[in-house]
Amino acid sequence: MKPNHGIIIITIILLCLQISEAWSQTENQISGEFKNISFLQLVNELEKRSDHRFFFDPVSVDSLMITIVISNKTIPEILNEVLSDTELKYAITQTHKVYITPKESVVTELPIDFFKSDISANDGNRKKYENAHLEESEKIQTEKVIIIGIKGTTNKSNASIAGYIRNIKSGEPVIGATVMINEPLIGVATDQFGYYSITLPKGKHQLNMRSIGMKNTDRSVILNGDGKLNIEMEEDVTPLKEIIVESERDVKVMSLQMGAEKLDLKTMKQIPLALGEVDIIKAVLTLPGVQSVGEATVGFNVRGGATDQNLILFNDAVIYNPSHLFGFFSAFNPDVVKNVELYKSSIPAEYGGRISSVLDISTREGNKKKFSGAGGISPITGRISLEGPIAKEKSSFLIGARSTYSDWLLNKIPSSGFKNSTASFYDINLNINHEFSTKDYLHVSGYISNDRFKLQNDTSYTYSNKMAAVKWRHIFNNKFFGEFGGNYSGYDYAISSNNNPVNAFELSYALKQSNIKADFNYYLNAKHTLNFGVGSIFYKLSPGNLNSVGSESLIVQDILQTEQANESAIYLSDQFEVSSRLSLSTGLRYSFFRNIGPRDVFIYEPGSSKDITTIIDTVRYSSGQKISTSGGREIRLSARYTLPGNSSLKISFNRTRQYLQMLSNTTAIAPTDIWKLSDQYIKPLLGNQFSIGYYKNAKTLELSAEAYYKQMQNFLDYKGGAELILNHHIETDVINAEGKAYGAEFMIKKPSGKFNGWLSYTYSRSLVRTAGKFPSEVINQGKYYPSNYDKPHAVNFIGNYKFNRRFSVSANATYSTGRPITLPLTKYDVDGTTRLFYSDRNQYRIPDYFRIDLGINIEGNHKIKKLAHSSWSLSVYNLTGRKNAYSVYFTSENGAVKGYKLSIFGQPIPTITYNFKF
Amino acid sequence: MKRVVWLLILMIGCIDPYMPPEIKPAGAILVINGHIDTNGKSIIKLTRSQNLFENIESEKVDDALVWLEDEIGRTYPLTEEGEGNYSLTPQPFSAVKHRLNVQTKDQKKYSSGFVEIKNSSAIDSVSWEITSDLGVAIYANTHSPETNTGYYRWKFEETWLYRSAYPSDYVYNNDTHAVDFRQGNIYECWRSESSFDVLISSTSRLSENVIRKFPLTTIEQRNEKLKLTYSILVKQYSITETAYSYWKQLEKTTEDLGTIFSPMPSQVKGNFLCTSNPEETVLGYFSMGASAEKRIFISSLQLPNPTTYNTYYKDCGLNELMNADVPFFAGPYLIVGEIHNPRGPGAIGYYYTAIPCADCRVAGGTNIKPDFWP
Repeated sequence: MKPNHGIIIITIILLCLQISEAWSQTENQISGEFKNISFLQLVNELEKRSDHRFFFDPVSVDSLMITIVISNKTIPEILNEVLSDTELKYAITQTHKVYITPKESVVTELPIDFFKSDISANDGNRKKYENAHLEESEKIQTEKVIIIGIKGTTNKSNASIAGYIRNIKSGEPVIGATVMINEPLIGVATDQFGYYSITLPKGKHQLNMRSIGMKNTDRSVILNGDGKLNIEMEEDVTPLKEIIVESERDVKVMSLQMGAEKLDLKTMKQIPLALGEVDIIKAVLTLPGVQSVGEATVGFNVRGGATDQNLILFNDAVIYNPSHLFGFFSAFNPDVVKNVELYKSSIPAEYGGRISSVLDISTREGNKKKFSGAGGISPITGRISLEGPIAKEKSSFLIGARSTYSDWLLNKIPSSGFKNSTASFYDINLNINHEFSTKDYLHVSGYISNDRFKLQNDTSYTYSNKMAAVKWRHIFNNKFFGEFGGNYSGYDYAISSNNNPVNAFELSYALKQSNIKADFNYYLNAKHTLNFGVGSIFYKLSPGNLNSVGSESLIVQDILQTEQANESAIYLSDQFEVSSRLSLSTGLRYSFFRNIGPRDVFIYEPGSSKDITTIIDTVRYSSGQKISTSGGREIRLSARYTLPGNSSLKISFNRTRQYLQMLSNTTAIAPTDIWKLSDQYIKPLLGNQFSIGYYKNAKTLELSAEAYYKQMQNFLDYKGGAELILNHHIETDVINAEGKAYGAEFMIKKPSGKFNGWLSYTYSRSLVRTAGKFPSEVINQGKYYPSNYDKPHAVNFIGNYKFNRRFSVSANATYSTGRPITLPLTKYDVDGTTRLFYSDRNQYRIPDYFRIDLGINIEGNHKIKKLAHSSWSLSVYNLTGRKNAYSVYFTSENGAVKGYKLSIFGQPIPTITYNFKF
Repeated sequence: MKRVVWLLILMIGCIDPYMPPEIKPAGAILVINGHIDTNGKSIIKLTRSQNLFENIESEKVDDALVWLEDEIGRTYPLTEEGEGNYSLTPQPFSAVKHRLNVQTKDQKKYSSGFVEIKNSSAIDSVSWEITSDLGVAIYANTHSPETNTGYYRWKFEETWLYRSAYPSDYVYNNDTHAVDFRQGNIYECWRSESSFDVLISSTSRLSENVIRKFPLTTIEQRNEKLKLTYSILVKQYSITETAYSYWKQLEKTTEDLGTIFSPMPSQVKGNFLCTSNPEETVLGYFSMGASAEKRIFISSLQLPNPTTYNTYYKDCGLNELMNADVPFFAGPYLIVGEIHNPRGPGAIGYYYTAIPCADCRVAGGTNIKPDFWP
């Protein structure tokens, strides 16, 4: 039976100890056959059969496994053979004491002149004697040579090492840490569980582990065969001396990903705060290629795509409305977030369902070793989180909550509508992890967010995101593991008004999705890593329920038919290391979508514009019956070619499909926006993106340049004055359009040092053209026009300067071209009132946007043992007080046309936040 | 846990006037406006659009031919009245649908789509109540026996009585340099104002064709309109669903903009087409049908009266003109009344004031009592 490589070290000792029966011993000559025994066992045998006594540090030999056939050999001969491939040295005294030490052998006899004052010939030996002790005590952890695998079990030239990298203090996995060797340059990164698997040539290696916020660590290994290596890394909380964090330095150049950006909480904390909270979405907006339409919005646009084209995953479950309070806050509690990854060009094949980007937010795991908590207080919000072990080292929990205190903010917002209004929100997170064994790991998480606001004491709005996810990870062996997950996410909102009893109503909307999936990673060999999996999503939407409230209400119940659909996908991708210079990632995803009954569907007169007047029939579909299907291949290709001088060139092509779109004719995401499934009238979105990039590491700087061209089909646009709420025939109000986007992004990043940060410039265009056949379905005569978020020039600067360990200053500057708007061209009289006639869509722009923010972080003292660690963040948002236009609009007031500019945050906004940790 | 201190902030966003630097003046577009009222005389008005920030009267389109046409080709020509107005007296319309045609003097032809005659149901009442700010809110209430959805549009005309600061009982005769008694009234005037906003509502979400308390307008407590007697004439039109969506869009693109969730503005064109050049834009909406009217009066006696009103007259005051100076009296003044002799009978002179303080017509009203005024 071939032993399972993954567990060799633990089990083989028990299983395979075989000592041959025939053995003999003459004068210190030993014979025998030993198979897969530990060094300790060998020593026991040798001590039994000889008068030698062995002295050694068990740690230095614990990974040494021995298979040896001995026939009439002396102890030195045996040791020469056994220790030949290791860094261990031995020394034997005349009294038959054997000392085993790393690297330097013990000098068993003092030099003759050791006690004499004049130092002569044997000086070298004397030094060795001293050094041996020093090195052992100081560097036992990192200098220890770890032997992995059994020598001679395979003939292959490569072997793999896999394991977890964890935080030594909390036991949490370290995500995205790199594990690499320098000669030849091979590196991998840990996944969201802190798991890595690296395939290397057999032999001796120095493994380097790097991660942001962790101290660098190294391990010396001798790789004989496949094996496991778990590594604990120490947190780099308050480096006592300035350590240059080299983490991820090489990742951008070496990885196969293009247009992937990763932000961890530490980076996000350095960005000056807007309203006293670390805001994930605002941090993402500082990255090149990411833009938003304005300040009071959480929706973001990636490379010319619409806000609904971003897959926002929170622990693998989709979040539909990532905002609180009109977008002033993002819906994610920064205390529970571990890191955020944005994929904007080469999207891994495991993701699908949105055409522009994937924003993958993962939460931390609770501390497995001790109870702790953290929190923060800012003028508007408060947050707290608690975490700790459930079963020590095995399972942990993390719970976080956040809420607003007051409604004062609303009353400060301009633009009429918000006076006499109330608003509040909260969100709660819960994560539980359990490690059943080294091979089985369970992760359960739940999330709920809720917002309610009432405008002018009349109409009240509530909306809520809910999420629950379970993930089980099983490691089949060193090279093969799988993740099996199920999750549920829901989004709903309700609007109600009871000011006028006759018209009192409640309007509600709900979207639910359940998702099951299985993903597998197979590290085939040093050249190939395979990822494959299947997944299926079931959607159920209640697009609108209108109900009367109170006995006087004459509102007629109006319930839009539910929509249901199933989206399934299967994928396979291979990361292929063609040569030391060239790597390919080839991925193929096949997605399939079925819109199913029960549902009544209107049939329109063929060859004419869809309109209520052209409905000719209604077809009834029964429960589960197929209404429409769509689907197809999604190709994900990328290639990296390493160039001399620590640089690389990458290209990628990506095709993505999206079966769910948001209907919105406001510029920002509004709580009343509705999501619509593809059906026989609304076709799925299709996106193709080609990109090319150049990356270089120069001393302490990372340089990158990427260019892209993107094409989007079956984009939705709206007829003028389209009614989107409670519309039984939404297909009559939407227009099929196509979009194209292109641009280039340049970035200089200094990731480490006293001064760190980045500067980026983005040129991008995003254009739309209607593809309708009928006059009512054409906008701007069918010509390309700028989309609402077309902002050609954007410059972002983030800088952070660390004066000392407790005090740092950060600044953020942002410039972008104003977004397109439609302006009135001419005015005219209707019944004595002035009305406006607007230009073609989006032919003008609001004034350019510019903003500088400043932040100061003051850490409390760094005594390790104290009750609570605290820090203060002071920030000033919009330091120059520039009145950036959120919108420009014209109204007719008492018969005259007046133009106005609305700016949100039109003056410097200072905030103070107190954060604590215990 | 540590003692927590926080302080803060000002967060004030702002709305500032804004004039875009770059809007190119567009060519003037023909605007055709009007409703044919089957019960009375109707006016169709032809004007042209103007540049956005031009503050002149819009150009009237004269010398055009305007005629109504029914589905079977019968025509009803409108009479040109000048100032871009074209009128039609009540006609015995027998067809269901009509359209309006216009031919301008440069031979361009325009036609509306065929529209249905929609007759409005009666206005049940025009109600009002005192708001929480002690102003007045006015509502329309109506219902229709027709069970299908009702789409309604309202217009109103407010008229109110007001008085100048001082009653001028005398008039200075520039020829004789004497003070005579004034004939006629310049103290009490009536001012009228028409509705500006689009006022529409539908019963599409209701189980009955009932409109209750549709808000027409609100008047602040200190508004001069409420100082004496106020009257509002409400006109109600029954409109088609397409007309409703036209007015809705017009409302959205000119009144309901600028907030965070506001929809994006779009072109609103109406139901006219240029038949001689389909590329040319023409604006306006044509509709037809009998309207319903209702007038109410609100007296200040029915209202909580504030101590002061925001009137035109807050800076007015009186000056004295001694008898000896009467022959030399000149300037933009009016004589208000006599200054009585404190020691005996007769007057020692006159009080006078600036013309706008005594002549109520200067403030924009008329001193001719409207027919409907009680």
